[in-house]
Amino acid sequence: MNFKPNDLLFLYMISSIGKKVFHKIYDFGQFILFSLTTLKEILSFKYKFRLVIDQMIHLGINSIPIVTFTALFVGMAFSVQVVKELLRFGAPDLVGGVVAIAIWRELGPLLTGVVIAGRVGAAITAEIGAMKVNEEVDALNVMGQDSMTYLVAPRVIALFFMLPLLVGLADIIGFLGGLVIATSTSMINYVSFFTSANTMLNTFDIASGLFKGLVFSLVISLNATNLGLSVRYGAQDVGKKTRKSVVFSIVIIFGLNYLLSVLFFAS
Amino acid sequence: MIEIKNLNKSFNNNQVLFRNLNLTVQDGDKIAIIGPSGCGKSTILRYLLGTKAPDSGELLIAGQNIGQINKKELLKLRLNIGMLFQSAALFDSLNIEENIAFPLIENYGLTLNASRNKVNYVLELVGLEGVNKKMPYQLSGGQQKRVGLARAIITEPKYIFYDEPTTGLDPVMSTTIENVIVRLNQVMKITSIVVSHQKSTILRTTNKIYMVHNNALLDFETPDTIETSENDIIRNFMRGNQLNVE
Repeated sequence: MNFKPNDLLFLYMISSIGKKVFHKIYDFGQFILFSLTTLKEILSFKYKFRLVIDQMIHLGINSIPIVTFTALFVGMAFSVQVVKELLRFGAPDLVGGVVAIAIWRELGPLLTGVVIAGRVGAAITAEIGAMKVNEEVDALNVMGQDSMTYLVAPRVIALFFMLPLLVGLADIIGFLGGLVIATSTSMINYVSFFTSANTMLNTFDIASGLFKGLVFSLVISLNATNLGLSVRYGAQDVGKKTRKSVVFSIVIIFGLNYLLSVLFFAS
Repeated sequence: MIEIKNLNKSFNNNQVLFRNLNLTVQDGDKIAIIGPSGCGKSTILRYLLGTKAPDSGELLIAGQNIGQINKKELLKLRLNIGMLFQSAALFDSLNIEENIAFPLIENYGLTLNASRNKVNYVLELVGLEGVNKKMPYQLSGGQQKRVGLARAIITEPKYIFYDEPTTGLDPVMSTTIENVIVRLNQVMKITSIVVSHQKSTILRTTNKIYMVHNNALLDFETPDTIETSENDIIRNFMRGNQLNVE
């Protein structure tokens, strides 16, 4: 069979794409397997409660400042836009409700998820990855400790409980930021703002945002721990896996946020 | 007793690492595994610890087959094994006494206070008294290895594996580590496997020396016979100051 140069180039391209697709499918399968193993580990209750508390402080409590600042400024910026436009259309009574719905349903969970993916996801991958490179994970295993029980499960559980709380905090701070801007830059008063929010926002809106937090926590923690444990080749690989951890988590969070919004609110 | 029977390992690119490798380590033996860089010496230790798996073969420690026991049994079996890693593998976030007491705290539920006497005892054994509150980064490489050794022996394991215990250390520190291993051999009567490139480490700390060659182990030599071995491969290998000279 005689191939022309263009045919060979085409075959090479197809083979390269096929290889990449195969690797992605393999990675995804491996991630699912890792997630199921982690779930099994969590349900076996073999992990130490002390480690979960440590991680709750490390991953959750220590993230309060950055989540607070992010939510505050996003709430304020969003309020600036909403106040201006709704006043133009003569609907100042809607400002509180629109700000509340946007923050509780979308901005609070989404931005908290992204911030935590950057701060916590990167930290988890880099920490576990560095432990792998320094043989600390092997040492842990040799000393009778399972890395899934000792490193993975406490982080996943801690973030599962802390992320919804951080989302709740971001919701409140963002809403208050919006309130401050709305009442200080227009004739909208806080009673009107609260009344509007109270009328338009319902319990399901709040619960759906918190639920998103639960889902995002699993994406961030499982992805970060999986990539951390997959580090093999030293410092460069730690950097590569850390970057991958943050990028993958953020992309998945945006995608899942859309799907969950459709599921909860499209009909 | 440790037994390795018909161990095989090859990679996707058809590169063979081990072909029918066999090894028996009797209780009380102090053996060394030598060979050129990349021949898989450290990998044998990983197989025995169950952190890596070969393609086929049996790995028995105290009669338990590493490949056939479940995870819980494997973790329990590992409590009989101490390991000194090449990098010492101390936990950065813990101070020295927390590092050393780690196996006691996590496996036997002891508190740090309850472990302190034993921590001090093993620190004395490795000649490092008074560093309890220091962090790993405050110690030199050699001191970190001695702390790693203290951590490995605190549970009084039946077996101890040394992965390149003196590699990368200056001659003075190498000798210090060797002295510690010799002292441990006398005091604790542990069965040990040393993987090393350092001639003096092998000759001083072991009584049987195996060389990895052509994906398997050659017949053992003793420290007295190895340098005049009848096997050309072993003799030539030993003629360099560094053992990785082929």
